[in-house]
Amino acid sequence: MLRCKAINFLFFILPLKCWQDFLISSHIQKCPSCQKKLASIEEVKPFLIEESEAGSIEGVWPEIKKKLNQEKRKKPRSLWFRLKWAFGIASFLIAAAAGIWFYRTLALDKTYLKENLVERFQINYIRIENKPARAFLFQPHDSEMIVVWAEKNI
Amino acid sequence: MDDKQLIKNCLEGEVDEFRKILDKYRWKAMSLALNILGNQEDAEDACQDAFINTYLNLGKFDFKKSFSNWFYSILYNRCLDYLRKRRRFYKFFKMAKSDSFRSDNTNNSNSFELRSVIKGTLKELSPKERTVLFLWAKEGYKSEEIASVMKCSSSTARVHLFKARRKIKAKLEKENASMQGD
Repeated sequence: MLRCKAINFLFFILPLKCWQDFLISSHIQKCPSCQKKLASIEEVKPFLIEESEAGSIEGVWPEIKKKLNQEKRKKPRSLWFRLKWAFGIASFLIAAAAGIWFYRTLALDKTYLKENLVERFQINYIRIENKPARAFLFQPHDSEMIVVWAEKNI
Repeated sequence: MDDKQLIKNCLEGEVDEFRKILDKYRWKAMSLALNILGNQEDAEDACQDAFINTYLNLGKFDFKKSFSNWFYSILYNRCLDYLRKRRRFYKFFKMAKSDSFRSDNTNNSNSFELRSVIKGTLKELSPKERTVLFLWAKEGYKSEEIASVMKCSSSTARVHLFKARRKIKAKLEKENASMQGD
């Protein structure tokens, strides 16, 4: 009984359907005391409106027929139509994937070039007035430009 | 003649063939719609729309599945649409503060509405709970079939059914207690 109360408490404390279903299948469906708190089919039936109580909709058939004649039945799409769409979508996806791949490859190449610019730039020696000079290399931030600064050795 | 044969005939033949399907399901459809909507006029309109939608979409019907499930699913969605419409309608009139209209409207309510008010139970249940209860008690559906009609998971259908059954039982116990008290 205490367990049933705890289960009921847990049922209301967390209103998640999967959690509530777990409690129902793990305990409530098997527990005779909890089952007593549920209405049976015989108890439920009187609460529902019977077919015999429901008014007939026989009179609406002419109206339905009129509407049905007005509106054509939606035909299922033909195989050719579906294939055409499938081919179109597949082509678009392939083109998009190729575009993304191409763009990414180009972008990667650009970064590689930028990162290795200074390493690849090489000056063996600079001479000013026929004498070896001091050389400095600068690369401004976020730029592909390289500045070479040469000073006379005094 | 079974449902699938009727549909095949209907797909090949004339509109009149559809009448057989309508004749077979009209009572059950009205009963379900009335249980969800609780109003004769709305139920009739919802049934009419559901039958028209069913006919127009017969070509999309999957012959591997049950026709009744498919039809109930269309009807259930139509009923939900009507409930949404009605909610908007009452919201509008509440905003307009038209008390006279509301009193007229309640006076004109039909026998089903009065009946359910007298019973005082159906209105306490949510439309989903009413649908679940109808399919379970009247049609003998299992949670998987209910789930396919309501387009939800079977665990959700089980939870709705559990809550509805518990509410009905609580109501019955309350009535019994009050009768014993009197």
